[in-house]
Amino acid sequence: MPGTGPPIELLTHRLSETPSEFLSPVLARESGAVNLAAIVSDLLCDMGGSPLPASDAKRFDSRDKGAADELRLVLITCWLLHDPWFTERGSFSQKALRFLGGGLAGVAKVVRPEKFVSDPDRREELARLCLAALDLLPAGENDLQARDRLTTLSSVERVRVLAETRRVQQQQEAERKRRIQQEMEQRRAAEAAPAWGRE
Amino acid sequence: MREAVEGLSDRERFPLLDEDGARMLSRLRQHPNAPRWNLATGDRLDAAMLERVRQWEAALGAPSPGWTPGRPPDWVDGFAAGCAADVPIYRRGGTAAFASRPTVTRADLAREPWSFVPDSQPLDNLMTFYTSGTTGKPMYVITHPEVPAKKLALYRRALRACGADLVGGPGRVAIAFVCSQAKTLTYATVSSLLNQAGAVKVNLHPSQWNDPGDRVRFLDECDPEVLTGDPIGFADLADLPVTIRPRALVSSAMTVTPGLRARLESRFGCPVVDIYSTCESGPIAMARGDAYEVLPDDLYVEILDERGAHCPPGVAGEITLTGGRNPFLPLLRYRTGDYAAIETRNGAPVLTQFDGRAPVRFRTMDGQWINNIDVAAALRTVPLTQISLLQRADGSLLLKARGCESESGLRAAIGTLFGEGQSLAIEPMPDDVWKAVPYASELEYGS
Repeated sequence: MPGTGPPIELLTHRLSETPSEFLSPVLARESGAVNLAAIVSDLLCDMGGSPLPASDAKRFDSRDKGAADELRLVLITCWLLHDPWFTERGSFSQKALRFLGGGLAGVAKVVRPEKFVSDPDRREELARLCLAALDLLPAGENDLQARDRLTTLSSVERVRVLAETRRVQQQQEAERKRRIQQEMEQRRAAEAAPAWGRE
Repeated sequence: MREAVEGLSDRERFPLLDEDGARMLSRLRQHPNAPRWNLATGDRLDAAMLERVRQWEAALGAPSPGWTPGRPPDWVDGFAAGCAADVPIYRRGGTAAFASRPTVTRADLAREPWSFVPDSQPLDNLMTFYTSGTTGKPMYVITHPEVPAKKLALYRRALRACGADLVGGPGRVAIAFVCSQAKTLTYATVSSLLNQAGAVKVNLHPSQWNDPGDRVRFLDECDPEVLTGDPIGFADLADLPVTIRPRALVSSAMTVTPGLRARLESRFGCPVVDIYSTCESGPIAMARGDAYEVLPDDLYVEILDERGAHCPPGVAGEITLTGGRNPFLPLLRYRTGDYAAIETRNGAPVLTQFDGRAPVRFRTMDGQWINNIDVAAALRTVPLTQISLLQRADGSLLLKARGCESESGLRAAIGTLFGEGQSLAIEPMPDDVWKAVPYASELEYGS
């Protein structure tokens, strides 16, 4: 059974006030970059857990440009999870590490990280993703309500639905194209239309 | 040349054929002086289609399409939204409002005609016809039986505007579509819209007849109410000793030169109706004086520059069409490849500076640049049927002409326009060319 978490508004409000440092570059050796592995490690300690193991630190200390968006979202999420509601309970560090270590990759592929600060729907989406990852329900909601709302907001789901729609449309168009071309071929072979005059 | 195709029965070709129509069909097909028909074709109109065409024709309003340049008619927004939802090629352009939608071209249509067919359009009654085109590649266009019938209705509207008519009726040949080229489809048919009147498409080229004298005998015996065709066919017909007295000549595909118009009107004792028409849209406009009046009510015409912006009134750009009446080919900002300016006269839009193709610049002997409209204006008084003028990279001119009665007159007109010392070669237009590029230049503008 999921536990009861903080009200969603608490988290979305915190995201809307994300300090600019948490929007900094994150790739190792990038100009002005923060030390993401150190920040994650501090968060885990503040949540009552152990420091980030060296084996996990590599993931957050990357020079791979392809990972930049995900790691920037990790940085923003560190700010969110640093809320006293989480740190004071001292029991979320392992779930938080699992979430930060891979739970954001999908959504980071379809939404620019800064949108999770500037856009109200994306703030709510990230807040709900965090609570779900920590096995918590937003205060005042039951499991069904929370899942419904997250599905509605889900960027990954939206992209999936769009892609599926596009795929079906392409399939239908291909079938329509085949039928029209077949009809054209048959009618062309059968007989041209009378022209009445020059075009 | 293809042989007559027996793919359909006459019952399928002519769902509404009655005894009068059958008699007419038989008369034309078996006429002892008829040409060697190479196609069997019919209007395929059933009773419901014919009724729709009649209603459509009855609803054609006064000769004003209900819009002015740059101010589209009310139906355009709904039409654009419908296309964006229902037509593959327009769906790709997103849901933008009409004025900011991308344009489409003849190349799009040639490449993927299927993508212009609305998803909701049943494919029953699909027909095709072939278009060679002046500027683009040949292609097949998909059409519907009601489309050519509505073209006849628009011809009738244009004819009435010129004091003529197209009535048809049993026992009468309503239309002779006259061509003069090495090869083309020829046929005898019957129109239910014209009340079982006959119609023929003939090719004056002697090779298409059992005896060249049959051309005159057959056409005189048909005594068609109206002739349709292009300036080349009409010019050749005028040279034959036919005694027909049609109500009018409907010319399309190429602009009728003033000299030829005067000659034809005198020869046949009737008006020449010059219609601008494309296979994709059907009739668009008819010549009235120095301008072309928009003919149908269901086409909105824009004049666009290369970037898609509206040209100011009086400035030539590409004729771009929206609307139309082909259910398989809705046109949404379709660039025709033809060029004209648009302006408002007496509250209605007219096309001016109509040229039918992209403006071409020519360099005169003193280094000035003139365009093809200047050339057309200079040749206005020279009697000829068709020209094709090329300026080579060295500045010399090659002029191919058809129906030129006075080479010295042609030389004088070109000499006056281009200046003393202009090199000019004049050749007859080859017989097997009927659609020639009228103007071309190998010079780079400004060189």
